[in-house]
Amino acid sequence: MTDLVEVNLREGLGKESLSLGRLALRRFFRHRPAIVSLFLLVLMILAFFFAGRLSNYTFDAVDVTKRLESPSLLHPFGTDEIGRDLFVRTMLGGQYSVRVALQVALLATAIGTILGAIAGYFGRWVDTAISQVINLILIVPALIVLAVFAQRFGGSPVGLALVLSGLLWTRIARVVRGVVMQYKEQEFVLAAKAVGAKPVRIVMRHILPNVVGSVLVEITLLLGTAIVLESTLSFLGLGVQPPIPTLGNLIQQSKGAIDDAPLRVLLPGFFVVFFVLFINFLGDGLRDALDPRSKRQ
Amino acid sequence: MLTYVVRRVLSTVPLLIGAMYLVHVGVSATSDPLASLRLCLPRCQEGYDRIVEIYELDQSIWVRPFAWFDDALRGDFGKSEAIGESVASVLVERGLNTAMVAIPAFLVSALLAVFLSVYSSRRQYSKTDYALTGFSFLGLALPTFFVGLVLQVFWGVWFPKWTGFKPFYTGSMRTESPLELLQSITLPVLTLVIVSVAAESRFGRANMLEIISSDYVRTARAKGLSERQVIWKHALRNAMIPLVTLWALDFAALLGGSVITETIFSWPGLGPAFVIALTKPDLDLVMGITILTALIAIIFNLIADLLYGWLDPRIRLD
Amino acid sequence: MTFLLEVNRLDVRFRTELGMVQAVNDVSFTVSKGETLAVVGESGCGKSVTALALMRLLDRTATIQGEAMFEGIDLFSISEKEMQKVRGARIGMIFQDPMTALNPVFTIGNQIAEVVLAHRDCTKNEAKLRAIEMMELVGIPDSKRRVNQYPHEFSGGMRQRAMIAMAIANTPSLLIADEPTTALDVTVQAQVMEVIRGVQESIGLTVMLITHDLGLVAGFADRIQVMYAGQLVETSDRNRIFYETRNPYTRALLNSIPSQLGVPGTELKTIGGNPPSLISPPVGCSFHPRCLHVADACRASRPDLEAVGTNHFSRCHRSADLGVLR
Repeated sequence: MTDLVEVNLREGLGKESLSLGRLALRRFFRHRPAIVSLFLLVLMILAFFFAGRLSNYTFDAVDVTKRLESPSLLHPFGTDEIGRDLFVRTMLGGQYSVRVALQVALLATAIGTILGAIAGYFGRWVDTAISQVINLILIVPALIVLAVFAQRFGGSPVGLALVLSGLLWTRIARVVRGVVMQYKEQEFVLAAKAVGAKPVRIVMRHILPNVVGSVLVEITLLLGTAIVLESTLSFLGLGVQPPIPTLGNLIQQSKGAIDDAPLRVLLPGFFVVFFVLFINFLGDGLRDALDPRSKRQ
Repeated sequence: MLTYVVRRVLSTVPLLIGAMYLVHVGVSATSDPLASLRLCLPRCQEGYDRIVEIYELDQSIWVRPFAWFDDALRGDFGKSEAIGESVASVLVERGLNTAMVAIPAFLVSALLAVFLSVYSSRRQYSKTDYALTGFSFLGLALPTFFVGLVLQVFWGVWFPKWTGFKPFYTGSMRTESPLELLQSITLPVLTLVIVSVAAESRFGRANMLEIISSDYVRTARAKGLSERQVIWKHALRNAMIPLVTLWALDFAALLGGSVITETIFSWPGLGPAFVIALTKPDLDLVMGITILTALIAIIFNLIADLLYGWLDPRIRLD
Repeated sequence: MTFLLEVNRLDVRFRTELGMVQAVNDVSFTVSKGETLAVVGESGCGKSVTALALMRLLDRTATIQGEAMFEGIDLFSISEKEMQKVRGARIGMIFQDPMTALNPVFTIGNQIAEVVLAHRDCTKNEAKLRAIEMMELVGIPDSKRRVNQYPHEFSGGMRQRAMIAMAIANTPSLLIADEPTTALDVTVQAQVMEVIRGVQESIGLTVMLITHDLGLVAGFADRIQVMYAGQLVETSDRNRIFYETRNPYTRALLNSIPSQLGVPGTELKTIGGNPPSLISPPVGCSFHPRCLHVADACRASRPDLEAVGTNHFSRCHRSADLGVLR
């Protein structure tokens, strides 16, 4: 039901009335999958960054006498084909993958918000120019274009983050542009203009706060997309290069042993899947909290 | 309608040319065919000079695309250093192989998505609906390479181990007989279908649900039309409009996904060729493949735009 | 005398996240052949839900009880397939917003012809001719050309006329008009009502007009029934409702109509308070918290619908001692 109906219903039933922001927060906490996912996601990220310290082994300690061991107390995930501890390697790989994803999210959001706001607010040729660029980037197959740039610049985590941002800012820009265009025609903006407020101030103070919600949802999607792209490119050998481990290139490196120990080879992939799953639930919860009109199951 | 078509086609041409130009500059900027040769100078000066000549490396990066255009219009896309044949023939041969996987995958996932969306939206809140929604939600979180690997492990390692026979080929393309072709094509196609259907049916279902509760659907029911007419004529016609755009975008994604699946299943399409060409670097081949995929994506987008105009009369009269 | 439509003890409930909503509570009424019955009330009083319930167009969260005898059959006990034969053929319905109520991707002609094809055995061409005929009947100019146009090419008033054409194409006996003019400009409203009246006269239609606009009702209704919080609170013929109402709610509603004869500068009258919650309604008469004539009996129990004159019924504990309210 819409906000207004809910507010009225609450009044009718004698319950205390809440501000729209509080309503959103309350709705978010009612969304159980989102809360559980948030919790598990935080747990997973903490594990990536800190759990590795629990083990005595380093990520590159080779020991060919202990190849492809099954999981044990010493090696919770077992060892890979040259005896390195898979637990520490996977945790470190997760760390780098998450780092890349977060960097991408930050950079892409920054660029996308600025360009999207400019396009949406000023309109006309500025909008056309930026929109054409966005359209072009969105139409061509992402992986192919990314592969070209990643192969050259994406060997390091930061480099890959830059390459991915160069493509992914477009989605945020489109969303921001849409919201800005929607709000700039509203009367409170006209009122601000009438009092002589400068464009920058109008955008930042009056329009952007309304954008925050949609952007937050897009950021969750972006994080998921970034980590999938990173792991895919690294899996193909075009992304982050060894010895730096990421969830993608860990699989790439151990691909040969897939017939002998398939689960262990795929293990980093499972982490990617869970990360994206949790992030998607989170995004769903956020979207529901911010726009209750969207029917959820 | 005709003016709409002409308008859209004309506005796509500069996009095509611009895309090709940028792709050329981009590929030139990111590859360095002289990398390995620099180390052996001055011994291999001859080879060095030959490479400079072939790729016009002495010219500015912004000028080189014109030479490429010039050659391309005459049908000469250069020679693949890695494979030793003309780029054009590589594109055709491998392109067909890729099409063999990409086109069935596209058709199957599009049809499946439509049916799942209709079915799901009609039976909202039922157990089947929850199951299907759950699967598609899960599917969204699965990277293509993961799906491919899991399928490869399951059908290539575990299933044979448990049952002693292997119904699908997991690492090659067999064309000896239609049956063999089917056996080798199934897993790559299935991988792509799983990933596409997840996203498409999720969107399609949400879209259908919204449409089913719209006023004009209510009017259709108030006219006494059968449920089948209401859903398949009134609702679906409107639901297709945004779905068509999604399909166009998805086809582009499918091309990217093909790179991954072909690599995993050792399918001799454009994918593995692309990856190898990148690492060499085989400039002409990288150029050829990148531009080809970009062109296909842009053209599909144009087709989607035209279909959109055909399906939604409000757009045409803009 | 047999009525065209006889509704007995209609009860409609909805399951919602916050509880069970009683949208229509024990409503009974009749509609005679050829008359225009207006159902009036504020937003949320249950008038639209009543109409949708009769057409069985409510979704699965609704529970319908009661009986609706239409031309001898109980609309609530026939199968869905049989109901489909009734909709669009024997009962036509038009809705509030013609822009969203018409499918944007099909031509007007297609949509009108469709309802003909669905209920009659005829060719596509014959159906199209019928569509053009109907468009002319409702006053859409240049119908031969416009039959191939899309809804967005029509103005609001034209679209509503097209809806009417669609609803009467199979000469139904009853037309239900749910707020047909609410989404239209004031100048167009009268035109559309004239179309309905014209159609009514030419094909002998019975009309059930649902609206919150009493002014509209004054010009077109034969009988009026007033609803509040899901219940029928007063029903009688038009003149008696307007000039001799016995119900405090109706009185308050009438008082709130801005009058051209009033003294400039006087405040507009409103009905104080808010409509009651349909999930946890107040004990007693549902209007009592806002009623100017409230008494102890009103707070204690729900009044029944009683006769207060010939063909004049009102639901009020105090109708006996209040008399005609002015």
